Amino acid sequence: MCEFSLKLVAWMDGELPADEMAALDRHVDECAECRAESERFRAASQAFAECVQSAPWPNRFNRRWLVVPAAIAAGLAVAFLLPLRAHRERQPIAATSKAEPVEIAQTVESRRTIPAIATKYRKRPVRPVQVQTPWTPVEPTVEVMIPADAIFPPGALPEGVDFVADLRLATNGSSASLALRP
Amino acid sequence: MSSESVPFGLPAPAFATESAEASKLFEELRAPLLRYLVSLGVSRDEAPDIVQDAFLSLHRHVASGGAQENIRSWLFRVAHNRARNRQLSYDRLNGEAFDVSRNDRPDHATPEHKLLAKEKRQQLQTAIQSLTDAERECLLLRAEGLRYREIGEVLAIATSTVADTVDRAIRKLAEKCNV
Repeated sequence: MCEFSLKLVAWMDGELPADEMAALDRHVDECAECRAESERFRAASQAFAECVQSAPWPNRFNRRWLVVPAAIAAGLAVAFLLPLRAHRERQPIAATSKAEPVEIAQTVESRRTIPAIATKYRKRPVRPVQVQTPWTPVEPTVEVMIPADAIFPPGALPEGVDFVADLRLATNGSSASLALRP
Repeated sequence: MSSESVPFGLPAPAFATESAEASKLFEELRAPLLRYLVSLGVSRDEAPDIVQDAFLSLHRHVASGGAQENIRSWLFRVAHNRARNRQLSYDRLNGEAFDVSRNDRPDHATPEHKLLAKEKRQQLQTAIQSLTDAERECLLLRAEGLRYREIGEVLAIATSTVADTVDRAIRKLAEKCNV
């Protein structure tokens, strides 16, 4: 057996160092035995590869599985943009208005069945309550475009339809609400 | 989904900006991973789950600052280990996965050609059955285009061991297939 024979498979796969590759290139040109053997190896390798590659079914999953990377990409984009949005939202949340002091007595007075309690609370003013004004964005701070493919099955909507996600963040950074609109 | 927190932790910004690349990677490696798993004997119902799981693991890996080199072998390794962890029966390998009869050509061939092709298929079947698990795994990964170094990373063996195993496996196939 030719001494180069042991390296033929690695040579076929281009897995030898450059100098050995060059040496094998030259040798196989000259050695009929190695040339024939490398052809046999190549044919065996090819038969195996065809057997593996001929599995017909993975492509059937193409369209359905496109949703997964799209969803991951959309999720990544939203998660990445969270810090920006959270930073901008602090200011509106801090804007609160003071409610007028309310005499709870007015309410209690109507409870005529328990006059003792009504008397007790009549003179006691309630502490002013700070009421948070719900923040409504004047205009979107950050817009994230999500391809419709990421949400709906392929073919459910015409191509090119996008959605805008209105994402509101709670003070702890989690999403308080998420609404999609075309 | 009101009052639900966003189900993704903060990823590494570099990966977020490369989410298009993540999609491309998925497109590129989904079919090879599925093929590899099915060839290992994973059922066609389970294989997509394992592939999806591997990609989600990749997301978590990158989000937690994991290395982004050798992603291909990383994915194959995760899928391979998941398959192993499910206590898969490799006995099924030569049944469904390597049912070489599916290579039947539509046939305008003569009966003699058909007979010859059938014999070759049977030889191939026998040859593949004679391979060890390691040899089969190396050849499967090689058939999916992985380099020896990557195969070594997937199977947690040295590159030189991969070279020896591939060499041995190819010789066995060549000998038993009579090519």
